[in-house]
Amino acid sequence: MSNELISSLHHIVVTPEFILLLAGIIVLIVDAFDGDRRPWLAPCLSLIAFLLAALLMIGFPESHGRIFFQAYTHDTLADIMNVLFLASGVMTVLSGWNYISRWAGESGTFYGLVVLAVMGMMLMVSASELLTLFVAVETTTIALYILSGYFKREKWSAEAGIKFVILGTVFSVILLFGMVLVYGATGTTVFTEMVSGAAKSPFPGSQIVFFGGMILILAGLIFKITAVPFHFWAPDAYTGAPTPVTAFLSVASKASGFGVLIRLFYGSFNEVPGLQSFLIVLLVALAGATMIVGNLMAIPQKNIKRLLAYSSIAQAGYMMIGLSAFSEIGMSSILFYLAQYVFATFGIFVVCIIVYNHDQSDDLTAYEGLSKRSPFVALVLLVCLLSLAGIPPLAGFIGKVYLFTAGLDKGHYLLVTIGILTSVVSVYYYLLILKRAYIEKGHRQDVLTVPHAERLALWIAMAGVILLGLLPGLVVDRVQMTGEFILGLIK
Amino acid sequence: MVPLPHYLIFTAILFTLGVIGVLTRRNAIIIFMSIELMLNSVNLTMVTFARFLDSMDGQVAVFLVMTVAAAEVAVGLALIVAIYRKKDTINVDEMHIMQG
Repeated sequence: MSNELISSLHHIVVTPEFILLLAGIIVLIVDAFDGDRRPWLAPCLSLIAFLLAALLMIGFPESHGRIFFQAYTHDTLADIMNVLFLASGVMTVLSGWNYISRWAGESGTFYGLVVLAVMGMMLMVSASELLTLFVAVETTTIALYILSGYFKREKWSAEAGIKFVILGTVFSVILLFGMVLVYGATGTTVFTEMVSGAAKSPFPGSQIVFFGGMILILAGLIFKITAVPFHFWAPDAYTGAPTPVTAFLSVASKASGFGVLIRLFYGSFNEVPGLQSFLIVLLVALAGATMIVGNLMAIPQKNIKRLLAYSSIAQAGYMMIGLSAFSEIGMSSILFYLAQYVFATFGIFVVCIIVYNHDQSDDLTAYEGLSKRSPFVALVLLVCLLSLAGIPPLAGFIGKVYLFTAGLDKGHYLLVTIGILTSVVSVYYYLLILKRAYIEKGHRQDVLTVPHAERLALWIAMAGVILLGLLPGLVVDRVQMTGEFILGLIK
Repeated sequence: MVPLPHYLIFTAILFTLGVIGVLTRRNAIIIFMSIELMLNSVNLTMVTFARFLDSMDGQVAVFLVMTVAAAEVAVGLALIVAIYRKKDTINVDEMHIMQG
């Protein structure tokens, strides 16, 4: 066994994660000693680390396998999710470049924490053992707690941080309790051995304990993806956190939750009798409620970050349609939707950052006359919002078509109807923002200057949304291979 | 030996007490103490299962969980200090600048 542990495969599989771990620590140390003289060093180092990790992952596509005594799985699902995490890490660094140094002064810690959080998310998606999963979840969330309270002199940020840390810790404990119950009922912590473990039922009534554990694990993950009924923390945490962190939370943190849900419920537990039909009922009900609550609550919002928080709750609802389908197309549609969601959401938040750097305001009124002040920024806002709303030919449209098809395949007609109707509602409040940007005359006429880092981020976001819309095959083909791979391997 | 259900009922009661504490107490530090109560009930469950299943996984896990919990509380207390400097209170009912 020890021979297996040190075989070369293991090193290749975890190299991207290891690079990020090293980079995170180096960034923190370099910033502590040299942050005042060379403030550009920390963001540059983190960008290099992200690119290096991505190159290694693309360079060794055959590094798939299970390692560390089945505790860690590297497959196409992990590959795709990792690319999404690295992309959102790059976007967070780019969008925070000016914002953080301008509003927080000392800035290097921010980048170190982003790198470590991305590493935690990569561990989360690959973890296929309960304790590994728990430690990965905690690595991520602790970094996120610090990030959301990063502006400790602003009462907004401190309040967002403390709300997030209290609720996050409670739900971490609930997640852990669920894991412990599952461990007790199956006698193992490794995902692949659980189905046989549950069949053995080590003590009378272990079936009930197992189901209870599953519900608690689901509750902990629903908190992460901000779905109803555990969405209430999101608006406050998203509004108060620094805007790059808000974007990171609403994209990467949510994506990691979906990654874990797919890993848990699509592969390992498919064969436990009764579990899947039970989960379908639960997920369908929650998906419907999430779409309705998210979209209706977004309408009256006056603060763009709060509006986007509710909109991101609604987006989680759409992705849950794919989750509740429990099919290959359901899974590939979630991954495709997540891919476009990363680019579209970051595009909008970078616009928010540019506007905030100029006007110190997140109010919707600050967006009046945006198209006159900077046509390019307004155009990116237009493209990204329309993609989230699901207007063809942008990527969001194709993503929604996939999700709804996955739902219809399994006969969730009511759920898909709710999805379509609430999409129409979402078009309404997205257009309200665009109306301010394009039609209304603002009281500020000064030109918005866009620094290089933000400009690059805007181009990446817009290119991502349009490219995925025109060539969905880029992701979908790979994702479809994933479906076969995951369902084939884990069963 | 004390049978398994006794342990499980006991930890369930501890866990519920923790949840009640989180829901009803308004002082941020007491909320954190209640969270610790929940965590300890989880740890106890873990040890119980490890004993009854005759496996070491649960026992080892307790150490991991305690370490993680310490890290979490360190961040939480730091944030409580930050907000106390800002608002002169750690009553969670008074943290309501964001609404709607």
